[in-house]
Amino acid sequence: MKRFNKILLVLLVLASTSCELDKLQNPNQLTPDQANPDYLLNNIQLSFTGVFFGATAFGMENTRMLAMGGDVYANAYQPQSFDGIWSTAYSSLFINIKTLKEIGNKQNIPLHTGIAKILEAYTLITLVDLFGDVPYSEALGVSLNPKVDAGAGLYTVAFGLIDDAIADFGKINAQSKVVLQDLYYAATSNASRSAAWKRVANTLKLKMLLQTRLVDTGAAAKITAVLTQDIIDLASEDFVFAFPANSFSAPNNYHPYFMGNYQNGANQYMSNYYMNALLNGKSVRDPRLRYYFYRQTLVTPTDANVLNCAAAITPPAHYPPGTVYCKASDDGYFGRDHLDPSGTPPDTKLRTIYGVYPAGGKYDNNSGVPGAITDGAVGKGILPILLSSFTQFMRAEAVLTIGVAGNARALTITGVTQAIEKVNGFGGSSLMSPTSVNNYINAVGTTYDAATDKLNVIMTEYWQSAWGNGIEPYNGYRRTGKPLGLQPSLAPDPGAFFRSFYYPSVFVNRNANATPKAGPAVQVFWDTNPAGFIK
Amino acid sequence: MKKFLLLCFSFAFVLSAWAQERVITGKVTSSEDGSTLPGVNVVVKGTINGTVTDADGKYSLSVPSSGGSLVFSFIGLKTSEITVGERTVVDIQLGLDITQLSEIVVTAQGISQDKKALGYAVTSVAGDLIQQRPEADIARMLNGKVPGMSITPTGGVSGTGTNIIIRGYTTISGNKQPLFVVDGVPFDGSTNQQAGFTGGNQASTSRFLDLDPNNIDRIDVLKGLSAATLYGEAGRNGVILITTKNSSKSKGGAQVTVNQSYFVNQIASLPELQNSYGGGFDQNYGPFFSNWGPRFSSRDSIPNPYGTAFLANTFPQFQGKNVKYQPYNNSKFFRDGAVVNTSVAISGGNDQISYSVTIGKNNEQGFVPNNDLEKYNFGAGITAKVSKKLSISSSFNYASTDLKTPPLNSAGSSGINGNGSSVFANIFYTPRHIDLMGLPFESPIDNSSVYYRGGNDIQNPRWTAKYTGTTDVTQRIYGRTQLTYNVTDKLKVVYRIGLDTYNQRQRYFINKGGVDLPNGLLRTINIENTIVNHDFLATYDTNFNETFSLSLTGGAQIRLDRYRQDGLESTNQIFFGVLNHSNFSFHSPLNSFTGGNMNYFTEKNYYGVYGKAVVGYKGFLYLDLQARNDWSSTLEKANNTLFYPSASLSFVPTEAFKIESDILNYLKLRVGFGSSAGFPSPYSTRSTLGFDARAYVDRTATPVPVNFASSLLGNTNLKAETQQEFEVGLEAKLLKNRISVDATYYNRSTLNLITNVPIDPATGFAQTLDNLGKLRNEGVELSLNGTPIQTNSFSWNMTLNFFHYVSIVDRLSSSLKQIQIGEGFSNLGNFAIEGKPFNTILGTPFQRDANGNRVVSAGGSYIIDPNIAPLGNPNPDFTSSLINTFSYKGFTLSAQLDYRQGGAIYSATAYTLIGRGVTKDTDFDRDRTFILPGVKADGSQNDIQVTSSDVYFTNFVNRASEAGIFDGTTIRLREVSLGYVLPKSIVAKTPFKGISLTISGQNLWFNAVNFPKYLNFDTDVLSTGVGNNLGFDYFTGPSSRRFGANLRLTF
Repeated sequence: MKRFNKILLVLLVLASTSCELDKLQNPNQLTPDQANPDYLLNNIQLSFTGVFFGATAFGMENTRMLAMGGDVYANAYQPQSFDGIWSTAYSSLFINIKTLKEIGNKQNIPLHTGIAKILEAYTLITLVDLFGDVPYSEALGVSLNPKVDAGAGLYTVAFGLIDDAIADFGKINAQSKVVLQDLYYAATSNASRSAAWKRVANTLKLKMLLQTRLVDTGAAAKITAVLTQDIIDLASEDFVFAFPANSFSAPNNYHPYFMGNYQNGANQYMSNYYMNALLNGKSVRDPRLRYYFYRQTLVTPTDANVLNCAAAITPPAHYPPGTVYCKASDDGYFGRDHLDPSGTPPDTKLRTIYGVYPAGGKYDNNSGVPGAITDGAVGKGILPILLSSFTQFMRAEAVLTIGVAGNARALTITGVTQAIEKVNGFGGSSLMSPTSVNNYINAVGTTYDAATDKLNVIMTEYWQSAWGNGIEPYNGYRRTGKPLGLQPSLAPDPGAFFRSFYYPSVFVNRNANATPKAGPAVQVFWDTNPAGFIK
Repeated sequence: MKKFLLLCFSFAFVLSAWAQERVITGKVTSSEDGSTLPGVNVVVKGTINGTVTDADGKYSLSVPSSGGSLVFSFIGLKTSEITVGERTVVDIQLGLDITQLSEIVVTAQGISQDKKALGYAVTSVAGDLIQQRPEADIARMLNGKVPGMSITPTGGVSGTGTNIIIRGYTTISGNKQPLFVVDGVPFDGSTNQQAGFTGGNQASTSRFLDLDPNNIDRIDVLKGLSAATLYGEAGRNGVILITTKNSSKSKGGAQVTVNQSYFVNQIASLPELQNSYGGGFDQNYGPFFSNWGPRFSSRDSIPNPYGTAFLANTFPQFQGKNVKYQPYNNSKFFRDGAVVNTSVAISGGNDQISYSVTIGKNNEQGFVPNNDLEKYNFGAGITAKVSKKLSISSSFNYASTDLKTPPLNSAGSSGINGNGSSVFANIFYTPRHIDLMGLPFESPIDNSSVYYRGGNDIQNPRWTAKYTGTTDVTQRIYGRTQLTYNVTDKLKVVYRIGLDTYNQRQRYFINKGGVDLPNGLLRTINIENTIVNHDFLATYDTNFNETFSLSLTGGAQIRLDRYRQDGLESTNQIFFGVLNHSNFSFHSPLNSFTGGNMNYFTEKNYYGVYGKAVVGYKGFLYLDLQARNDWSSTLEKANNTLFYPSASLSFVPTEAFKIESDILNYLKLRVGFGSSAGFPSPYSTRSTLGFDARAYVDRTATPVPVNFASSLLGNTNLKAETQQEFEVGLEAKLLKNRISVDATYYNRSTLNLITNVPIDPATGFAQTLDNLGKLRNEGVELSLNGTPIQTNSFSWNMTLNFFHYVSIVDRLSSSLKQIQIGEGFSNLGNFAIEGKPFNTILGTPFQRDANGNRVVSAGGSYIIDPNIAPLGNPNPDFTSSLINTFSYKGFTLSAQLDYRQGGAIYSATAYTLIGRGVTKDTDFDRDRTFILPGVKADGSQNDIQVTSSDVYFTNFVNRASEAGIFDGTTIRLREVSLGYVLPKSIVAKTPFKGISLTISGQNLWFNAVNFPKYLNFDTDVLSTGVGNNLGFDYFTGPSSRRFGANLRLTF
């Protein structure tokens, strides 16, 4: 017994030494107080591309820049189609901006917080533009079921954030922390970076003021005031996210459009209507055509098993005469028509895909072979968020609609010229002939002069120049109803156009205070146009 | 008999403390086989003077000088009374007491108890029902044998995980898998999944696969909380107590048992296909996924499927060539696998020491090419009596499990619906005109996948089977050492240390040249899991007098769990076929399917102290009181401890009222209340900050590190969840023990449910853990056994097992309307909704008008309602099994028939095969047009004509989830076996002591009656893998059918 007692005692001691209950801190992660402002800002800057990219896809599909699936609008998207952008905006962007702002109260990082606030403002108004009323005041930890705030109020919040950001830039001094890596403006000093971001701030204000002009009688005066500030009006000042050059890397750094279409055949359909607009919209071809699009074949298929409608090209009866249908050309430009619900034939290595601009794919030099992962700019593309050409088009609209001072025609021509230059210089080489560029710009001028609806010309050129950015054309279409005469859906009655999108599934199904949208016809606050205004 | 008594060895003792006048000695033996009987009570009649027989059945007792009688008694044996007279030696033989036959069961912490004293349900499964079977997974063999236990395999692929749920679902986010206890110590049964059901966790092995069924002596299943209280929170989901042969004692010369079996493993759920139409749409031929093309009789030939432009360089010989237009038999893709099992067991010993050694090898080929499971098991046990009072028992087991299978990621109607690759993604709806087995599947130039679609954009299933895969190699050591010290005859102290540790190497690979991940991928993960468990146990047993007995147990447990995994993922393979990280360009510590870091470490410490008292009254009334207090390292200090009691009562009226009747032989009533705790997994209470040193690489080729708030919102107020259960039951034997009944009703509620609440990302987080609401789970378990015929040479025995449960979410939370459970898509999955059955399937319905009519679009097809709604309850109404056993002389014929009533299943296999027009269910006149029942948007009756392709393809494939919901009622012939034990007269002429031969088959026939007939769908599938989900099939689970023979030799 005694011996056993001793053994037992030793064992008890052995066992009790491992008695420890303090195992609460996850050893695989950091604690929140270990946050580093540079790395937080990196995350915020990267997450922002997710917001932009998500919103762009929806915008381009609705404005016929890309083909849209589903037989009617209501079936084109499901609530969960919007889960990604919602999660990225709130739980990758806003939450980390909140942490960064808290650090900013203790550390001298005004450039960091200023940049973050601008990205927050852009994201916030983009959520309003897409969904209408969204949570903000109760978001980010205030409530587990945050209620929505009115969209108009959130625009006011966003204006405030921009002013705060500009104020932060004003606080930069010699001791302020330098931003370690800025993924948008690769300048080296705090001064030149803050100048670049200040232009973004002012240009964003211009965009927001124009956006709300239907509900803001003071918009003209406010825009006039913003135009006295430094804004993005030169290509060198463009607000873009530039994908890197390292062709193969972990993590995968390709432009998503490139990755999705050059690795293993196309994963998206181009829009027959948009391609046709560049091909045949004017008396001369748009010189950007071969930059925007790459044909994987130089002969549009005639086999019904590859291109279903090719067997009998009879446009739907409700299509106005002359509307493009089934394909954009016979020499390889083919995608899909608006709201085509049909299944996917084996055409992923035949249909037209993104070209070199802005996807970083291949310039179309009539090679007519399927895209490959080693092609062209190998994914070294951009996200065109706010370009100098956009500024010109926005100003032109402001001149024409609310009487801001300026020459709408000249601004439009400048816009087109800057847009073409941007594309022509892309990938380091200028492949457009100066003649084709001049001819096109002249054709725009002629069209403008002849047009009775000059705003339609501006909005059409903006739409044609915005390739890679679906946000501006989608907002513009809801604001102005232009470009006019976009391709109808294949079905005679596609139901109501998406004046705003469904709330995401993660919001509707997880938030007790969420109410699903009645349908696509619900309008956002700045859209005072009548119901059925656009299709 | 001997084993039966040995198990009881530690049971009730009666001791001597009386005047000693003369000594009587003797030996007690069994009248059955003459073996000695240890532990038999020997009492001088009318006194409390007594003793028990020793290991050799001998006793020695002081009695009054003359006269008197001795009473020999033992549970299960006929009590005998012998007049001593003047004798000093009294030997006696005891026989089985048929009327009072008691059953000894192993209960919590290894305490053996007479079943009649138990106030709760325990089901025991003898080793015979587990051994000599064609399955290496013990859980699958328990299917239908234990009422209250729901066992759902992931699918029929060898080595895949098995979901075990005892008494229904009781937690939303917690682990619901039962605790495995092997020879008294915890055994890890996890399924170390890496990437969710869309990333291939279906191929993850449940680690109880490491057990060798042929080494199992018996299994006792503790179902309720009152049974499992002493195991603490780990036991709340039920406990599967496994006693291996290596922990049992044996005596006598070495006995050798050799088992050799051979089984054939086939795919059981092949659909029956139509032979009228080939691929295409609207009766036009085309190389599509879908099979709505022209009749085979309508044309002679079609262009060679490999004559496409993209394969012009690869296969110039097929260019411009035609092939006959005809259907092909592609079921040859599947093979007949062989399951070969060999096991050897050797045991023996003497009074002081006994030993046992088992060796097993299991080789199993799946019905899918490249699915192989190879297992080696080796175990040894030794029990020794060190001194009169101290004995030591040690067992050691080694298991090596090597599994290989093509990936089984979930798939939908057009290939995988997540990441990676899946062998079943593209096989079942292969268009009828494709000669899968006759055409090449890889390019002769670069081994890349080739297939019939013009863009070569589906991965050939044969390529997938050959060039992609998962492997899982585990080496495991588990065992325990136990010291038992008999302080006095009444008081015993036990210390037990158990160790269970394994190293698991998982690999997921896709060679380059496929379609799903054309550049290739290699992911390797190295896991180390260790459980160290210390148990201290003291038991005190006494009979105060003939009226009262008392048994006390007190104990403490320390359990330490450590899990570490290291992983690396490489992409961009350079040389085809070489699966080595150095043959890939890029390497990452993140899992590209989930974005998660594969390198982490978790630890969990857990302590408990417990006590148990059983008071018996005259052998017919027992009160069992238990309590335990736990401390867990996974909760903040203020909330990390929980006390919970349980109590149960057992009453045997037949003994109390001395009922001696041929009608009612035995009746026991029991009632129990039990409670338990549930603690969260580690690191659930605090928010953390994530990091990634290389989230991106900027234009200057500089890596971009990031910091970010983790998606989990910490909750420092998180508490343990508590479970409470009330159960009543009755056990009876009727008609001369011909019929026995065991029935239980239970009602369990879980309060303060620890719930992983998916929250609106607008909160800044994706999820949080919170204590919510209340879940109620009640059910009835019934086991009926009868022997309609019993003669000397023939017997017919029937067992009916029945289980019905409902699991209802009584209360959720004021702020949440529903919570998604486990894995799923945000618009399709299992949900907890207040007032609804747990796991209700929510998904997108068809749009309906106010009168419930489906609404059609302008195209004449149904419109999807974007708002998800309840589509079905996946919990079966009940499950039952009927086991008939016929014995005639040495022959035993046994058949198990299972019936499952109800339970909705969302089946991608079903809607896709119907929607793509391949099964015989769609063999109708397709030239007709159809009008779908429903109304148009304006409310008028639908009159829009659509084609057959539209009816099926447009409305089934990738449409409303409602189209995929089917009722899961299934009737199944689970098992048939015919055994023959050679008569002793023949065996005596051989060198063997015993020879038996068994032929058997598993899953020989089934019919899911409410699924489309020709689909031949097997409802034994769970594509979400092991977890809390129920009722989903995403093309991962064709089931298997096995048949073969087993030979057993003893010598």
